[in-house]
Amino acid sequence: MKIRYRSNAAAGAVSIVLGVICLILIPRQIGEDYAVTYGITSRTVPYAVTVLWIVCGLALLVQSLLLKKDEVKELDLKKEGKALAYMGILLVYAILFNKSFLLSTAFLGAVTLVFVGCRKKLFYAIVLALVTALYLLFSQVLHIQMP
Amino acid sequence: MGEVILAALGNLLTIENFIFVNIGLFTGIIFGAIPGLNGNLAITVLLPFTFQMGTVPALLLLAAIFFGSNFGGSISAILINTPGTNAAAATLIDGYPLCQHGQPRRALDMALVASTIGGLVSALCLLFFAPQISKVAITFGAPEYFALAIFGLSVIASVSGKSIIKGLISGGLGILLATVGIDSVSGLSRFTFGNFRLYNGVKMLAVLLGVYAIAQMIGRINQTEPVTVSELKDAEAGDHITAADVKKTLPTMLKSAGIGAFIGAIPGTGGAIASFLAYNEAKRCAKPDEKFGQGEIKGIAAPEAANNGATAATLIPLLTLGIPGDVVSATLLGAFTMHGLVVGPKLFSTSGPTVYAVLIGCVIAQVLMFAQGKYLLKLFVKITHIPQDLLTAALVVICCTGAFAISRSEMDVYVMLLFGAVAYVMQKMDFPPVPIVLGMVLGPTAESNLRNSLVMSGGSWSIFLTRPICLAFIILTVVLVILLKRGDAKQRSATKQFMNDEE
Repeated sequence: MKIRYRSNAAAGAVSIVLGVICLILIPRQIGEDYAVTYGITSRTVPYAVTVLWIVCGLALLVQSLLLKKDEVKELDLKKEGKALAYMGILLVYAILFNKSFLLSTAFLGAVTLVFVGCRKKLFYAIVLALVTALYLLFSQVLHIQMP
Repeated sequence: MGEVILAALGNLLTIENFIFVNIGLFTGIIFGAIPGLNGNLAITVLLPFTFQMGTVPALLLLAAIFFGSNFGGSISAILINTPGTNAAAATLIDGYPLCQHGQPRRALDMALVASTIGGLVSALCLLFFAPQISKVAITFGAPEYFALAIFGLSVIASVSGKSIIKGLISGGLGILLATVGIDSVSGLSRFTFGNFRLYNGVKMLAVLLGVYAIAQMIGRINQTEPVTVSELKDAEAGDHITAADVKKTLPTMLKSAGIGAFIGAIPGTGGAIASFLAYNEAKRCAKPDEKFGQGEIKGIAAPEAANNGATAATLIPLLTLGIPGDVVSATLLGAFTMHGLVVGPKLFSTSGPTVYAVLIGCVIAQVLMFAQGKYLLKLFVKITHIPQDLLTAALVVICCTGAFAISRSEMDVYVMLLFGAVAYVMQKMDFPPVPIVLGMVLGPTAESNLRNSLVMSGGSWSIFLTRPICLAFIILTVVLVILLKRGDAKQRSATKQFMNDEE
């Protein structure tokens, strides 16, 4: 199954949504300056970026909807589903990373090979050897404490 | 000055440096030669592994990767009609036809000689001009730094690809990311969400690894087309470059190297623009019997000398003004910072021996690149046969290890993975990734110097118009944006014309 979307319209909408989220977040995440600031506070740059995002988002929407300057793109859900599943694996890796570097990274390397459709056992062995070598390099040679 | 150079030579002439420069060149050539990989990816992936190294060998290793990758890009351009890097796009116009005429080795040798000459000219320009520019730049105050940062941010206009608006949105993301943590002026925390590990901010290298490496690897998961690397053929023995070839192309190479060095020194330009300009110039000056587009040897010499001519020169604005002219410079900026060197006007006065050691090392690296290219070419061609699936898995594993090594914190691994996913989604909407890096690098400089400038002027914005250097940078920013857009359009039309000619 394929989904068609307009690149500029989608980018514009995302930009506006992000801008609005930031507008809400800024007062909650950044305190107020009480020193002499001449109009430039800790919030100024984040607010400027927020305004930039909303203005740029609107400009992209105008380009797409009014000026018809846009590119129609296609998302192959089967392919993107695979990418999404891989992102899920990255999330699992992030959770496991703290438990054991060696096991979690070996898992990620092997799963990556599965995702790219590799059937050669030798490649799995090479990746596992690489993970072990990196672990030994960092923990024994560079004396970095690995999880 | 003499003492500084002597100290620099002492830092430079070691076995360790010799080995690491060669490793860097070797890695760079391979990453440049494999389509889909590039020098920046190699630098980003290897950067965390340099933390335990000395400053000079680490920076020489990374710079050598940069130089090697530019030559490496020509290998796939000539052998399989696919430029390994953007800068090698002009090389294939004549390189591939010459290869089809049964002279791949001659074409590759020409690319190597031209790359070496271009690289030497560029490295010498860097060595001699950078210290002079920094002497002027050392007088800069906060307003000049602010104007300089804005000048650097204007590079977004050229690295935004199809849409400047999307480039601005990406740049904004970089600027916003750089605000995470404790604000150095007010001491207030920004976007830390109560997590103490975010008080030190988001590490640029973790974002770089995510945006450039992990996003690319997620993209590879989806790759169903057969990978062109497997089609690489071994260069045949027997066809070699001749002394007559070198004599014939020498003026073209020197001229193109000059064009490359000049273009490379302008932020936001880089090797791709330089190589197309040099190719056009060589074609314009062609004699009637020189058939460009059909395997003309000068058609390889010109773009290769130019794109390597741009390499070291792109470091001039980085080292003297702190402005990364392109994405590789932005990554190298991260490398300099992580090794305790503050790039910008004061770099030469505070870290003279180290910087000069790196600069002289850049010159020597070109000679070593020639030696590697001459004697290891067949090996490079063979190594580029490495299956892409193995390469993808290996790179993911190396990136994760490298991300942890940044500050021995799992937070950097999380940031890398998060921004890998974010960048992948951004790619789907054609958001360019380079402005994120520019925003992260230059955003904090612009912000802190704007605040300091206003304190200096008592809140008056006219300070930016009354100081001559400041005003000059503001005018330069406007001129650069206009020129970059024109240059971009020219490069696109040249590429389009080439594609049409190919069809």
